[in-house]
Amino acid sequence: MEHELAYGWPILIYFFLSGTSGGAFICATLLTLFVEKTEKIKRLVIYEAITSLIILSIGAVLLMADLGQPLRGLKLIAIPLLNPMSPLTWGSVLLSGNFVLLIWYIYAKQNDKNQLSKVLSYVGLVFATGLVTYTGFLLSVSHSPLWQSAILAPLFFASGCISGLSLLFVLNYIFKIIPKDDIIFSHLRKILFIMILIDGVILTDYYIVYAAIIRGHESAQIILTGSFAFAFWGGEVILGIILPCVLILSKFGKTEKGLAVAGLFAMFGVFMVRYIIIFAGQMA
Amino acid sequence: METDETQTNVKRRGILKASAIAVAGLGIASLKLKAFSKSDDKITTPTGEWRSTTCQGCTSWCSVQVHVENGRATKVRGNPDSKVNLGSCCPRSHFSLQQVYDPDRLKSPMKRTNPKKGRNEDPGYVPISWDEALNTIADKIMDLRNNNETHKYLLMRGRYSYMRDIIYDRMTKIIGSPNNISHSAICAEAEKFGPFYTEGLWDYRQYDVLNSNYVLLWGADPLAANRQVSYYNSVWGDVIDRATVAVVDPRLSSSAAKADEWMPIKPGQDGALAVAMAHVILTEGLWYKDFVGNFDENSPIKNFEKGKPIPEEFATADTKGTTFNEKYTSGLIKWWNLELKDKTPEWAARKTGLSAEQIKKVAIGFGKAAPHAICWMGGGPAMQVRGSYASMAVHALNGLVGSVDNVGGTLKANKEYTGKFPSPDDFMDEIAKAGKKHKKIDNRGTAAFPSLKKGKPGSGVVTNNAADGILSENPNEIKVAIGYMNNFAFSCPQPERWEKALSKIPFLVDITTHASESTWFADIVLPSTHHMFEKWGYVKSHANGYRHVTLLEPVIKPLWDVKMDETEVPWLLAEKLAQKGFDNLLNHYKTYKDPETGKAPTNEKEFALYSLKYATQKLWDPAQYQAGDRFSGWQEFAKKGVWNSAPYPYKKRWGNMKTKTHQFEFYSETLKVALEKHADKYSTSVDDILDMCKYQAKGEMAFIPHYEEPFFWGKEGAFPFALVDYKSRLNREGRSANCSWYQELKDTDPGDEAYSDVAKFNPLDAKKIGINNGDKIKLISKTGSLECTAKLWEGVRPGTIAKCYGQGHWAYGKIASKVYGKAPRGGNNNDVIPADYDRLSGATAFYGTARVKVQKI
Amino acid sequence: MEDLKLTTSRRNFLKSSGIGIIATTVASVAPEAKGSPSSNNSLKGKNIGMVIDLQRCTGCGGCVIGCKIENNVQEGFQWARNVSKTTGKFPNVAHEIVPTLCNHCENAPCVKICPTKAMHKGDGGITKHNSQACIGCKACIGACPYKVISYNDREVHSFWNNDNPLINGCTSSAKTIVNKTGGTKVPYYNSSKEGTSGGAGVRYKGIVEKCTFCDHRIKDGKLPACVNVCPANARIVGDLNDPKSEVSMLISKYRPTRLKEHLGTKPKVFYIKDNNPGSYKNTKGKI
Repeated sequence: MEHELAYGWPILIYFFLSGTSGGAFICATLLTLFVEKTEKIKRLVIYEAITSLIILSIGAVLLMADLGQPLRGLKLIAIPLLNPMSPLTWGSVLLSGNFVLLIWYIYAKQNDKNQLSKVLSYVGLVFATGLVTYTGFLLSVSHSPLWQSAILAPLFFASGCISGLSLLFVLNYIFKIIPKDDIIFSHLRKILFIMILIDGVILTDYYIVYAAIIRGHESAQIILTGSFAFAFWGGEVILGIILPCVLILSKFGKTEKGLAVAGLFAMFGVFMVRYIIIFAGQMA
Repeated sequence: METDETQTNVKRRGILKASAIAVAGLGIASLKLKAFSKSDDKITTPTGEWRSTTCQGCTSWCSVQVHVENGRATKVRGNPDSKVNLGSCCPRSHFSLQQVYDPDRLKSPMKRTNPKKGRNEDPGYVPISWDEALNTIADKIMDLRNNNETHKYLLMRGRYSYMRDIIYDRMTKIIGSPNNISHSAICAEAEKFGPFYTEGLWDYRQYDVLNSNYVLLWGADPLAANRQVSYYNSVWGDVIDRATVAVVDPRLSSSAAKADEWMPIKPGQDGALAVAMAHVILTEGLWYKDFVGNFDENSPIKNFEKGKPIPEEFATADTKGTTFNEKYTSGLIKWWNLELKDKTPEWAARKTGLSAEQIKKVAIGFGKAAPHAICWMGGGPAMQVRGSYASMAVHALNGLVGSVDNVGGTLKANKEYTGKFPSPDDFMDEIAKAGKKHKKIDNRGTAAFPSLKKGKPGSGVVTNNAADGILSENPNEIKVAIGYMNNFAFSCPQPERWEKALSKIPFLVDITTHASESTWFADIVLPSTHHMFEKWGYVKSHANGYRHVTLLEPVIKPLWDVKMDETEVPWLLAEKLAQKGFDNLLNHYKTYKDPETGKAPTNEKEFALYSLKYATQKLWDPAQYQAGDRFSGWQEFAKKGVWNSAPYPYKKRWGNMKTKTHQFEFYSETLKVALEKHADKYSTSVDDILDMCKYQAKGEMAFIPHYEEPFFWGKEGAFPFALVDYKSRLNREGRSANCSWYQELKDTDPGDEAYSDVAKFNPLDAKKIGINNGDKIKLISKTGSLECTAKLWEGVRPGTIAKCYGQGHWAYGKIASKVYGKAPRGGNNNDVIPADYDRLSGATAFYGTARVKVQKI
Repeated sequence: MEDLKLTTSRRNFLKSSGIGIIATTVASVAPEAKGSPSSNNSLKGKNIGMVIDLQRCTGCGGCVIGCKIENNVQEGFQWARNVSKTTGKFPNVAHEIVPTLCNHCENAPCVKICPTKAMHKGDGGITKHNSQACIGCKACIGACPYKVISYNDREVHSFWNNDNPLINGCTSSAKTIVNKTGGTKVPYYNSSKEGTSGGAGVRYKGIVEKCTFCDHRIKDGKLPACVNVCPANARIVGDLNDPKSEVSMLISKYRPTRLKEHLGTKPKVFYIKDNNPGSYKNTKGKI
């Protein structure tokens, strides 16, 4: 029955957006902390952080809209950790924490407060990691044969990072910040490739196939041959993993535009993973 | 809504503020709160009370109680004072809440504005006053009387209480018509035929299940449908602990799902199984000697052997005598010789599609359990074109094992002491007497409709044939008809005949709670009270070794100006007739005096109450006490709502049965008399009559329980599936489909789906014809078609389609109909069942009769 | 009317300052504060559980309908439910029915996941739902392995809002019936459901709902509605902490099963015996 679907489209998009936002924040902090502080990197980091903030805001609006009683939902922010057992409670802390940190972080970056941005980067890394992870954790303590696994949290973390990094390439292409012959560009390109391989192939697809088969024919059937087969094979595997990998390795992928396109597909793949896990999980 | 909790929250908030100031205060504050919460509980305690009445959702007729809160009915429960349903009530009783408060109930009398009648003619109903409605009806009746054609008046009865005689019998007689047509023959008359022509009982049995070791359910599903569903639900867990249960049914019924043996018989072959079981019981020597008797000790033959006839008398060198000395039965040897000797399980296996091993196993198990073995016949084996003989064969098994009237066996109803209403004879004038002498519109008693109710030819109703009588004006036309709580245009097979017949009647009145399919053709419609909440009446039913008489009481005030169908309406009509110069009916009704005050009724409300008190006086008046429950007076009886009989007197009827021989007849002398009487009336032979009535029996076979081939409409080639029709556990006499709960809970009928009406196929069949789950399909028989949804289900015998009756209303409210007056929700089984009859009982054939083919749509 | 509540809480929220906000919110959200109106000493220390005798259950649906009536549950929602399954091949077919309700798990995932403690454990170990604290996040629905929680995604009992008659002037309308009877939302509204922490008499759009073990009845020593109306006495209720209670004795006597026991939720609804206790031929089988 329809009214029993716990997590619908708004939640799916929120999961994707919060993951991407967190991933982007992580990228920004890592670049701040561990990469040579050039003006270009700074610009990229600020763009990435602002985009992260925008995405998170959209996600938060969707999340609120999905609540049956959004005004009551505000209480969660008013009283943090009302039920410390609930991942949702932590989620509300992480969501508002990221929000505040991102604004603060952008302010610090913009005004070249280096010491503050360094501190905020460390704190932000923790909060962003939490934000990206808790949604996976929420599902893994929920009831679905597909969800009940400790791997969901790392999976969501890894895929969020892919999404965040991909976003970086998209922004880089739009705002023409780092040219393709910059060494950092090729490093990041390789990192994305490796992350897609590790997360996409090993974590995500292996997990889905494995979990689906082990946890019951229903999930396996739905994802591998049933109503989600097209989304899985076509969307996730081909468009979301194989295509970006091929693109990154190709000549085109070594251009700013090519990498941005590969990034968009990788983000699409990340979206499809969440789509399949959330909806197929609720069908079994 | 501002709940109490919010208020206490405010209080608690204050307290928490206080606690910030003084922690010590908290303890006191919370103590205070407890006091508050206590008073909150009191506030929310409902002010309702339980009031007794009766559920007539099916003919279990359970005594129930309604919880009434500020004049509003909110809940239903079984009446704890009933010894019949033991305080329990089945799911359908709760649906009554959605019936009584159904927005689609009629709130006002209405009249037709479209003079044209037909399925596609919207009646164009407009509301009118009771006065106008009653005046119009009275005028029409006066016209009949003034023209000496009162026999052209027809009363059709549906769901009734025992107040029925006021409108059904007395009113019809005093107006002067023979035509009061009940619904009984679409209920289960054939089911009474077997018991009557074996043990002289024209009634439903009660079954002593808690003392039984074997329960053989035959086309009966007591956990879901008729009768005493509540009682059997309440004890079934104990029954199956103790007894072996076998269920003969082509589909997996609710009862079959909990049985030791499911015998998915081919539809229409019940007689074959019954005689084969009798064969096994006799050849295995398992008949109950204390009831049936035994071979004479000097007889050279001492057992029943397959294929060997047994001489009724023997003569040896030393002695001669009767081979088999029967005790409380009659005609066993004749039965063996004529029918049973060759009816082996192997023979029956070929007919029934069951294995010979299973037949033997069940027969032996049943026989070994004698006499505490019940063979429980439902409508399934009986309501067929040749069902009378199957009805006899199935019931005769109870005779073989001596369970009739025995502990753990099949019992009749206990004695009760309700009285008849005053006789109408003095109020029937010459017109009435002349009118009454005409023949009835259902053609009962004609050569081809023997209708041998209680041994009297032409005494049983042939409900569904009345449509043909009306259409062919045989024996005469019908000019004025009143129907109450009946919906023959939906509930009778081939209902399109009723649509035409009702359209043909120049003036039709319908008394009903809801506008129904039959209402569609009416000229005047009168809104009726709901039997369970708004009406005075009483009914009687039996189970658990008791009989109860349970009252229908007005436990709530109706929301609208509706009248009681069986009492108030006839009174009001009688008043109108009196105003128009014909006061016999009103004068008759005035003789129904209040037994407490001796006062004659002066209005319809008094009449309804007085007539009930009058009929039940011996139950509640301590001065007239007979037996069973004792009351201090009417008040106490009305409050309790139920009278229970004395416990059942076992074996009282052994040797004293109401048959010709006073014994349990395996060779029915009783039937012989009845059939010969009927044949004599038409100066022909019994063989000829049976031939006319589609039976196969010849000669002596006519008088014994025997196997007859089923009579199907449609050849197997053209119509590959036999239709297995059955009743939903949620049906309230076919009127609950307009309750949302009905649709929501439809999947409580095994194999069915919520919010759907499915025809169930065995997956093997479905594969063969390319049908999948959820396909929209059309079932087509020789006489009609219906549309529904396909469902693949293993609980269906291959070669059959099982479909529940209840859906397919095209004019019964917003939920039951997809578009009121235009499109049904689901399909009505009756649309594919041909109008045919078990003519010896007059019963309409529902089972083992229709064959259908399937089309995808 | 439900708006009233919202504005109340909004007012509280806007009033917020320092401790004030925390105090008020805790008060209106946390249901298990001492002296909550639901607390009743008669259930203190008890652990209420249920035994369902599948042999007695006939799958009639009485519990489903009885529960709906008692708790004013809207169309399409079922707190008590019959889950049925047909297995086997003709003619060896079984049709089994599992009557369900909230399992009132000792280790209740819905309680753990609920961010506002709207879903909480009450006296007697009952899993209750405080509808006024529910934010409608539906996480409990995702967490419950038994699918017994429903979310009100639209106006409740909307059938009864309809004001169109079937036949003009001759039949009434749903709305008129409700008004005329004086019912709330439905004509057969049961007011005794009101005033428990389990929820309002009728729920409303934007919150979840589920079986509350008829907390409003058992606090007065009455049986839950599904138990009370079951014509087959298939549902037996009592204190699991009391070794002499009927439920404890039945659990000891039969080997009970619980639904999805392996998940560690510790459900408090125990199933004994079998839908079909039918006999079969004594056999060793063959290879």
